[in-house]
Formats: sequence, C-alpha cells, structure tokens
Amino acid sequence: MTARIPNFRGHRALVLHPADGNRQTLVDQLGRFGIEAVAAWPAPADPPGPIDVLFLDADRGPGTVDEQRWADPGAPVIAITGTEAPGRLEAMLSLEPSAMLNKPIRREGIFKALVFAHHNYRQRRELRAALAVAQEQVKARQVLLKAVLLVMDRLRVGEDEAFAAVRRASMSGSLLIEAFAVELVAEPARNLRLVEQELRRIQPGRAAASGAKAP
Amino acid sequence: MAGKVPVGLVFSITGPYSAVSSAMLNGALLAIDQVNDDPAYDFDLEPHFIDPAASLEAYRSACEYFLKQLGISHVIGCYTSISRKEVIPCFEKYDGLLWYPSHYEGFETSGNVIYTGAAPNQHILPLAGHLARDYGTRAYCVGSNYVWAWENNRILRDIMAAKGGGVVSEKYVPVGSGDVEHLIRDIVRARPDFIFSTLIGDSRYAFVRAFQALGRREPAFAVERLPIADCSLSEPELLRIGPEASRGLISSSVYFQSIESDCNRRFIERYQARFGRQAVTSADAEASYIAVLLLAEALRAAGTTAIEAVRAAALGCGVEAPQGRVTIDAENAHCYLTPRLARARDDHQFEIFQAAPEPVKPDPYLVWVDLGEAGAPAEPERPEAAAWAAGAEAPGGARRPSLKLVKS
Repeated sequence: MTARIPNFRGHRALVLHPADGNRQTLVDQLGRFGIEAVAAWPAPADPPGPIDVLFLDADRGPGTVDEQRWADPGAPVIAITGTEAPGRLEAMLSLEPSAMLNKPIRREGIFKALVFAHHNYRQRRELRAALAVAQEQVKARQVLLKAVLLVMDRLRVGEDEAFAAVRRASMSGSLLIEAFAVELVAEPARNLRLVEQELRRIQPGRAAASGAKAP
Repeated sequence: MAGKVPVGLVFSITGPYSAVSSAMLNGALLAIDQVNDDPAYDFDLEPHFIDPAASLEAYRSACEYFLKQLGISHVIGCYTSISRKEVIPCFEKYDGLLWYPSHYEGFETSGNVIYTGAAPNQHILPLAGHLARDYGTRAYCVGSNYVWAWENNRILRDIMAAKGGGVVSEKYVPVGSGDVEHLIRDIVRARPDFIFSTLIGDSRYAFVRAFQALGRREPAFAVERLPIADCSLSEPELLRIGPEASRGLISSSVYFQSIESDCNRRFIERYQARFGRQAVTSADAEASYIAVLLLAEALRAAGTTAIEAVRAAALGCGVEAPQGRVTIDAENAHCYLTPRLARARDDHQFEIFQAAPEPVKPDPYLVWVDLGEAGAPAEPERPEAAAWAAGAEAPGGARRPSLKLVKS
C-alpha cells in the first residue's frame, strides 16, 4: 500500500497543554498546516466539538487530565512528553497515542508527528475492524460446526453432504450460512425439514424423512 | 546603528553546481555594494565569504566558523536542500539567521531561516498545470538523487495522478554524474508526454545535450513535441549548455532576465557593470540579491543587530525587486513571489509565455491548493468551524489566505 501524505487543511486540533512557549510553537505551526487549533488547560470534561487530532500533555500528574476520560477521543492522540518517568509513561500508554512529540516543542517534528499519528490511527482502526469481523467469523464457525454435526447425526449423512445441504438451505432462505446455522441449532425441528428437502435434491434416490420425523 | 554589520556568504563557486552558486554570490555582492552606497542605510554590510565546494562537511564547518568564531548572526547561502538541512542545526544552536536564496521543495519552516526563493506552489504547480494542459499527463521524471528531486517528483506524481495520468518512470543519477545515455534509451522506450527534469549542474547539461541530439535525429523526440520542463533552469546554465541544446527547454521561475521593468533594467545594468558585459542575470542571482536587500531593510527597521529584533522586523518586510514586489510572509518566513513560465531561446535568454498577475502567497506545505483530488483528503470547510474557534481559548489562526494561481 502506498501511503499518501494527507492535506490537513480544515482539520481541527485540540491541544490540552498549559499556556507556554511550547504550546504557542505548536499552535502556530498547526496554523501553517491549515489546522484550526484550540488550546485548553486545565482539560475540560469533554471536547468542545468533533476533533481530528488531540495533542495532550502527558507529563502532568494525576488529576490534571483524566486518562480514562480522554482515551480514544475518536481521533488520533499525540502525546507531548518531556519526562521518561515510568509512571507517566504508563499513564501515557493508557491513552494509546498514535504518535509522540518531544518537549521542548520545536517547529520541526510537528508535521512528522501528525503524519505518523494519522497513518497509525487509521491503520489501527482498520486492523481493529478486520479483527472484529474475524472474531465474528470464528464464533459463527462454531455454530456452523454444531449445525453440521446435528444434520449428520439426525439425517445420517456424511460431513460433505450435511454441509452442502445446510448451505443450500441457507441460500434458499437468502441467509448467510452462519445465520442459518444459528437458526438451525436454535430450532432444529422446522429447519431440519428444510435441510432434508435440499438433501433430496442432492441425493435424488434418498428415502423419505428418516431422522427428521416429527417427535 | 552606524557601523559594520558582518554578513556570512556560503556558496559553492567550485564543484558540480558552481554556475548557479557563482550567480548567487554575484547577486549577494551586488546588493551589498548597493546597500553600502545607499545613504538611507546608516550601516555597512561587511561580507565574509567561504566556498564549501559542494562538500556537506564544509558547509557545516563554514557556518559554525561564521556563527561561533566570528559571531556573525546573518548568513546568506546554500543552494541544494541537502546543504540547507545540514546547516540548520548550527543556526539553531547559535541562534543565527540563514537567508536561503533558492527555490526549494517546501515542507519546512525553520525559525532560523528566511526563505527568499520559490516554494512549490510558486514553481511546480504552474508548470505541472501547463504541461498537463498542452502535452499530456504521462510524465517521465529524471533527477539528481537528493531531496529536491524526490519531493518534486512526489508532488508531480500526485498532480498527474489526479489528472488521470501518472509518472511512467522515475530515474535518478548521482549529483555530478554525466552518465545519461541510459536515460535517453529509456525515454525512447517509454514514450512519455513530457520530461520533468530535476537534474542539477553537470548532469543536467549532459542530459539536455544528449536529448536534444536525439531530437535532431528523431523528430518524434524534438523538444517541441516532447518537452523537457524544469523548475530550476536559469540563464547562466544556458551558457554552459550551449545555444543549440538550450533552445525550447521550458523553465518555471519567479525571475528571468527578459522581464521588462525599470527595476530589472537597473539590476541588469549594475550586474553587467560589475561582472562583465557578457554576464547574464538569473533567478538565483536575483534571490540572493533580494535576500541582502531584505536583510538590510530588516536591520534598518530593527535599529539593532540583535537577532530577535531583526527576525521580528524581517517578517512582513518588502522590497521592490527585479521580478516585482517581494514581501516576506509573516506567517511562514517565505516570500510572496511572481511565478512565470518561459521557453529558452538560443541566445541564453528565455521567452516568457505565462506570468502570474501579481505576487503569489507562499504555501510551503501546499495546504491551500488542491493537487486535483490526488491523495489529499482535504475536507470541505465545516459550517460549525466558526463556532468552534469562537469558543476557543487560543485559536490557531488557520485563515484561508487569498491565493492567486497563474492562469494562462
């Protein structure tokens, strides 16, 4: 994948940092990139609106920035750090910053931090979305396995036939195979009849309902 | 503030890009004479010159010597971006100002540099628009292997991609290399719509001579049909290239000797009076000439040589220059300049065929222009933006400056 350097024009940055030379350098430089920066200190309870990036002074002690509150603000976090004190680094990590900016803040390095944060945040979000899909699939596969075993047992067929019949039954009901498997496991009686109909299409010589008799 | 103000000059008047650097040195010396002869300035600029001969190590030691040993605060110099990047840490360490008199690839705003050459929105943007409109969007990029070429090619790639074309090939040669025949063969194979050259110095001369020789043998490769376009080709280099191989080369620049203005006529007269009747002026000479004039203005306005005061005074300073009015943009310390496009003739002069109607605001980060739709997720201005800034403790001040682009 070719990474492209974004144009930050019109982006909005929130800078949670006490008023000083560091903050002024940062806010001025963000302006040169077309970014509207709003600075605040002490940290307000909530962002004043949607933001595209959050700069946060990670050196301050407990009580100045509620890390729980500001973790994952829906935008990349750039941690502004001076200290390497382990306790502060732990607190900073809980914010899952996408990039860091060292103190004293210089003009050089701000663009780089923005580009990194933008890239890392997007990549992390995409990975998380892909992971969520994969986890759903793993969960659904377990149900599908249960459904196939149920069909093999009740209708006395092999694994391949059972799977093929379940898939055809799901298609005839316009359902994802995983969704049909959930229904089959939840309500075997009615759904096994659907599967058996499909089995007969696959195996035309197959005798009438054996295991799917009404109880 | 009467007295002498020492000024450092760092230009590689020997080495692979000596033609350009010599022109830059000339421009600076000419302006220093002019300031010293002008009773409006109650101080004299005292030049100290070092030739680093294109060695990065020599650039750094020259600047260190000026700033640390001689206590000089203002240095005019550097041509290549790699040399500028090399010396910037010295200027930060000793808090001096580098007056950088060359067009460059942008994406920098050091607090210790005043940029008097063109930013990318002032050189490559108008050129790329012209090439796409008149020749096509399939670019062949050849360059000297350093950051000027890499970054310009990246910008060009984004622009051409946005216009539905692209870069068919991107080739680099080491600075100073004359080995260009493989490029010519590859261009014949690739058949692009135009050649975008970021070659500098000797490599450029060798390349354009070889390509123009090809064009004479094969009309399909004549520069009228398959042009070589460039953002840094200047008059002294046409002298080096020779008249026949120069004809038809396209250059994007904020200054050409052929600009018709009283200020430019005076500039050319003085330049030739000092450096010889045959001498030609150039964008590089003009940029360092402007750098000295702006420095003198800033010193006069500050009334002191104290670096903080001079830096503050420099922002917003302006002078009448051979290219037209030049003003330092207080926002980014680059200059408002007037972009032009021109074609080289065979008398080491350029014929200007397109010019911006007025000086264009510098945009070193290419924030306020759209490279087509390419890559840039430039978001539309949000309606609630005003409210957002209104409730702010300290608004960042991202105003949209009025940008005038070159129109044909």
